Amino acid sequence: MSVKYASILWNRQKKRYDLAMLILMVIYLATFSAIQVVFHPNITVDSLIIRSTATLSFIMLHIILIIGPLSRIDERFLPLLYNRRHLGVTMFLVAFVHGIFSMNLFHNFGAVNPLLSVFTSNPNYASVSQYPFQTLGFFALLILFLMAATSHDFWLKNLSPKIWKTLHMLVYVAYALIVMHVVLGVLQQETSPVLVGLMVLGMLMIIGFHLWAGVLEGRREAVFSAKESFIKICRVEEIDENCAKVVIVQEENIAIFKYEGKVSAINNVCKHQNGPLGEGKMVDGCITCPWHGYQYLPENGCSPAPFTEKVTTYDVKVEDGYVFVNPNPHPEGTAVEPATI
Amino acid sequence: MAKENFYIGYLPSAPKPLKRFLSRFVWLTIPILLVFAVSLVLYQKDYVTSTFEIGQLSTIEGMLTYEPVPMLKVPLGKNDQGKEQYQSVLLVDFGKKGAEESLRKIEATHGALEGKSLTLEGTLIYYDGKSLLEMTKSENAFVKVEGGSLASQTKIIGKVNLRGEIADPKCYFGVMKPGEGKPHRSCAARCIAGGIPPVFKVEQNGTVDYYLVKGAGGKAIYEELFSIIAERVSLEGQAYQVDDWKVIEIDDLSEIKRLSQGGLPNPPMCSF
Ligand code: HEM
Ligand code: FES
Repeated sequence: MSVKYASILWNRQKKRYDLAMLILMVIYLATFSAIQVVFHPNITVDSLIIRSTATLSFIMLHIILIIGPLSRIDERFLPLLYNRRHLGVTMFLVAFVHGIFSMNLFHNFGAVNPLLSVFTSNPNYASVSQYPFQTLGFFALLILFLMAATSHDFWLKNLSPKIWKTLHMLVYVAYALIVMHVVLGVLQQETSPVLVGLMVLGMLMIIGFHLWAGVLEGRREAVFSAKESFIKICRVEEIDENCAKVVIVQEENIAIFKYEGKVSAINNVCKHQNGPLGEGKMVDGCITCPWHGYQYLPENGCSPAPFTEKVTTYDVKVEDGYVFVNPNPHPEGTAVEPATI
Repeated sequence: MAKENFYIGYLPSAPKPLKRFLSRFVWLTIPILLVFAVSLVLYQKDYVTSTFEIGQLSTIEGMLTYEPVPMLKVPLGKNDQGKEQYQSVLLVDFGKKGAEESLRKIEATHGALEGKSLTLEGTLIYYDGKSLLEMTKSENAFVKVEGGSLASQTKIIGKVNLRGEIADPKCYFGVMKPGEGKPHRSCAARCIAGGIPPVFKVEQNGTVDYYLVKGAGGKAIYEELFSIIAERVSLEGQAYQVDDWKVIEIDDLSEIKRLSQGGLPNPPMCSF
């Protein structure tokens, strides 16, 4: 939530995150290469590079896709989400090495431009088993590139969060393209059921965690339908101090926070990347987003100066120990008197 | 108070219990990564022993012939019937290119080469009894040319119908691993389109045999094969053997049949 954009703000946590990531990558590459050389001494250097980077980046993509639902299932995974863009950019770079080496080896030094060759060297677009699988890898790499290039908050702001989010949802398209790239490519030759099994396992994990997180989400958000202006939500004690209860009323996604003997309600959707503010916490008098730490004042939905983000606010009242909320939103950043308990 | 371990990424340090949880998670990913690395490597097919002596130049002397494809025939001595025996060394250029152009350039300065004893410098490629020389420095591969005589033996095999896969010999016999099959398909297509002579790898009854592929009447064909390279196909044509290489002349390209693979649907044959 910076108004000026530093390239990346480094701190010890981020450094530890990156260090752990790099060490894990080195462990994988070293093990993969060592076992290759021992069990398959005839492998060429090119094939070793192509296969090790391909599999590493594919594995990294699985981790990237699983972190989202994991951190909704267990909040302790949130730090992994917080710095996920580092993982994403690094994954792109690894996949890029694979793509460049493949393009160079299979398409360079011929009569046709390598890029053109990717699309024309195999004309069997109407076939399944003979489909030109490298084109699928190419489009996946293009998506990964766009995501890596726009990962900084500068782009988030300039593309508008909505477009940015849509662009970054393409990661699921990239995943599907890579699955097909593998199925129609190397698995047409490498037919061991173990390899197919590993890929299916990865797919089941991704789908399974997303479904699991979705079910939990549905349970967490109480849905009310409103006839009157103020709707009874719950007893005051049901909301933990400095935390929120999330409700959906008339399609409004509302986070109701309790703090310092007061209750305030603001929109649950963070302006940064649509993070769930109601799963965050009050820190230093500000509602703090669990995803990347954007902050909002509970009484007016504004980020503290010098920041400029604003969310909608709602009228609240407390009567007979019950919390009531009016689901008709005030314009973003409107000050609303907190209800006192 | 709930959420005691709330994480705030821009603070220099995370709460202790969170740190412990995350470091346990990181430790757990190590064995998972190792399992993946090990099984991905162990369950792939082994790589063949084909060789490309990359970075190592050799000089080869032999009789140059352009038929059926450009090659140097290295004399091995006479057999029982007093006939000269040859080990053929197929010639290819650097990259995905046939040797023809560079040989013509050498001829432009040194005169006709056909049937003469030519010495070339290049990088050797060999596997399964076959060998090739990559003219790594193209026309500068030329070392010397001397007179000579070539006494090739041609034997007619007759009409054959063979099943196998069209490969580019440069990659197949050494430069790449795997140098055949689907993952390598695009590369083989580029090599053959670039004038590297197509080779038909025939696998029948557990034995492997190789044929140089030509069109009807011995016409060289390259791009005509584009859409079926590296696929299981059946070819029909006239076969013969020149010294140590078999050749198939395909009578009718439209008679090439795709053989179904792994139960996946097959497209109709592309027209040539
Ligand atoms: C320009 C883009 C790309 C090209 C030209 C390309 C080309 C190839 C080729 C030729 C193979 C087969 C190599 C072999 O025999 O092992 C392959 C396999 C593979 N590719 Fe790609 N690829 C591209 C992008 C990607 C991307 C973005 C990913 C993302 C992770 C990816 C993941 C894989 C995987 C997992 C395999 C199977 C493992 C292997 O065989 O190496 N590829 N790719
Ligand atoms: S979504 Fe990034 S801070 Fe809220």
